[in-house]
Amino acid sequence: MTAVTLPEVLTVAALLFVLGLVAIFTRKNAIGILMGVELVLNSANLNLVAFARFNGLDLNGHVFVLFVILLAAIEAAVFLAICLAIYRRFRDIAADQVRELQG
Amino acid sequence: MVDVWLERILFYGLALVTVGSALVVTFGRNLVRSAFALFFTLMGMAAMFVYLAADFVALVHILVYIGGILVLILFGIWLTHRVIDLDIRAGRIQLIPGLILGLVLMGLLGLTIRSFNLAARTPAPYRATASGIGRLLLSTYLLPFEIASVALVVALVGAIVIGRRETSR
Amino acid sequence: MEGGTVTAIVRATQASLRLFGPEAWLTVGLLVLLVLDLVWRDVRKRFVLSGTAFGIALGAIILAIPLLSHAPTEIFSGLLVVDPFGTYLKIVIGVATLLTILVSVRNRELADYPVGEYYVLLLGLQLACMLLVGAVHFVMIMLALEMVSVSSYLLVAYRKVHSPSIEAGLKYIVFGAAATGAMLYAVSWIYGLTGTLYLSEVARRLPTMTISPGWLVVMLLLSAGLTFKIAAVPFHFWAPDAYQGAATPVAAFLTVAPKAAGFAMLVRIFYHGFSIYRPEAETWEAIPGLGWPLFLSVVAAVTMTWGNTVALWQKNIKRMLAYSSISHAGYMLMAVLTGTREGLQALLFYVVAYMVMNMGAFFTVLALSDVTDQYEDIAAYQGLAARFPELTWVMAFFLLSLAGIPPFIGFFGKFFLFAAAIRGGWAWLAVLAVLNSVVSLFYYVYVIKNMVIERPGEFRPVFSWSPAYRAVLVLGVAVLVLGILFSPIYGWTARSSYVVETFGMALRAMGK
Repeated sequence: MTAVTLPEVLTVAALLFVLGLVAIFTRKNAIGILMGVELVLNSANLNLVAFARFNGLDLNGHVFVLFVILLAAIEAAVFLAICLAIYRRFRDIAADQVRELQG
Repeated sequence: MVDVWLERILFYGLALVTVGSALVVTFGRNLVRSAFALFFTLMGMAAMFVYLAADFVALVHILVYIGGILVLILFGIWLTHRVIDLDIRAGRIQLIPGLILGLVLMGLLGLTIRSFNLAARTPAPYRATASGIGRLLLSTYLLPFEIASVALVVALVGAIVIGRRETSR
Repeated sequence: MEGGTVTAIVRATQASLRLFGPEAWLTVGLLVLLVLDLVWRDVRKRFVLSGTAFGIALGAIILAIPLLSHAPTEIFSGLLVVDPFGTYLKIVIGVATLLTILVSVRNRELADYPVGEYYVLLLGLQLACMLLVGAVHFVMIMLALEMVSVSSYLLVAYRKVHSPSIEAGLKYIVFGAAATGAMLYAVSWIYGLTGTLYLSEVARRLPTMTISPGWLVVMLLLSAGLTFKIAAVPFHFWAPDAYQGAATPVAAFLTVAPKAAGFAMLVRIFYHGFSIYRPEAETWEAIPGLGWPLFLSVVAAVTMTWGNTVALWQKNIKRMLAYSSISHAGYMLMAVLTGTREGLQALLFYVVAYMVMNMGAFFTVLALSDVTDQYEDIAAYQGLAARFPELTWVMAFFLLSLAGIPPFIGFFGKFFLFAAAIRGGWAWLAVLAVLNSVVSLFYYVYVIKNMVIERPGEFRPVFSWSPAYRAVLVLGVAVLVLGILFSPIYGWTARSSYVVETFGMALRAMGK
């Protein structure tokens, strides 16, 4: 038995990535979708940190994670602002009920 | 030998908490419950960051994700729904296709992970990262560090215009 | 590189700033605009702020022009690169911004919404596009890409009491966030496998590694994120809604500037990161085993065919133009695929042609929206020729140019594209593109036919001097004159497509 190896950490990240994507595709509620997006971004972060540690603790990976966290914050703020505006118009933010436009 | 076992137990405990609560985030019926599950996912992530020798990142992760984004999400849920338990049923219409897609993707990613020879890589010993990150941010990453603030200003200005109540000027 | 004394950092930053003029000017201008918006409080505010924004955008172009002939140089420790290719595209993006500001001033769709913040978002988007054009490091690419995306979402949703606008914004951000997430995950893999975030380093290390099949999955996820930004099928769902829901100036801008920046990103990532440069033949050879030429060729084929087919059924002019712009992204992808200097040159030429004709078409719709209420429904265009003869003429120019009819610039753009594709070994794609051009003629001509159809009743010609009207006429002249006298632009593209073998030099000099 050895210590935890890189593929095991990557598998956890992959699980989070898939769960996030499934949330994005199956959730009807816009804020539920946002939570899925956060899972996906987190999985990328976990990947980066894991690779950094198994690559001689390369801090470039850590800096990348910091920027990803910032991007996540920006995206969440803008996402919720749009949700608020939608809610004021429709009083409900089920993404699939928003149907004035047709594909 | 004992510490190797302890390490594995610790890691798998964390992985269980993280992935288990992520399952609730994805499949939970109640949106508020999903948001609280997200809290545990994020905490689990932070602990894993610490385990993976990313102490500074873990700290920022807790500050921004739990102190900022999660609170924002909860506010979003409460601002857009008056009656919490009745209205916030999350839809589960395309659940089966979504599940199939997820399983296929997971299989694909599993194969991807196996196809690279990554198990041979050894973990680096622990050391403090904050000062190194600070140096990098002010030398190599000086430009993105500055541009990030511009991006924040632009995004927040726009978010405020769209999010605030009064409609026109 | 981690350390370095403070003086060394300061000196390097000063040297970098010298080549960073346009972006630095835009950043400062953006903040000035924000302050001006707070302090200026009278009825002339809209014009003062528009004028300021115009000046800022113009300044960025003027500052960029001297850099056109600058030899490729890496700045800010190799995160950005300044080269003729990038500078050329930055100028195109700048011109698109100028035109957009010009037509936004008196636009009815935007009249009810705050003006200062609108220009802050628009100039922020311009800045982000310009950064994306030069980014050759994954941190910089993701940051610039996210800035482009976020300001696009906000601009689409800007008319927040107009339902289609915010709905389109929501749809856009949901798809966009998913695409960004997928791309980010792929980038984390690339970082992990190669151990670097510099594109040039990725290309240097890949040939020394064994490329296992897992790379295909990574490249697939990466391509998903990349093709989203240029609205290629199957990641195009957001585009028709976004262009229809957004105010027309915004829609026109979004079809040009972020798309140009997206193509620059594609070239940077796939050429610098996943190809090997062969100086003797001036080609970029895809590193085998990654499969990206295959992915992109499938995407290009599906995109041009799907875009054109769906455009045939559209009844709303903005949606029709949206699908047409999707198919044009398919044509341009061919140029990226070739990996030759000729292909790059064709891409650069087509970006200009596409900007002139596509913005022209959108602006004609806009000019119509200023003078009549029937401007979105194509069927309602009947009889417009009698009322707006000038607009009908220039609209016919733009549409024929989009279809690729000879005297106009669109014809030469397509000619160079198809020629480059055939010479680059993508003959089947070029044939498909020609067939698609023929199909596209139907829906373009349908609009012209509708405009010139007589309708019972007496109409007097109307002419107005609104800014949009003027911009349209200028572009109408440009689409014809540039078509006949295309050689100066072609000359510039020849000089600007001279790019990239020097990349990674600065990096290696730093001893990394």
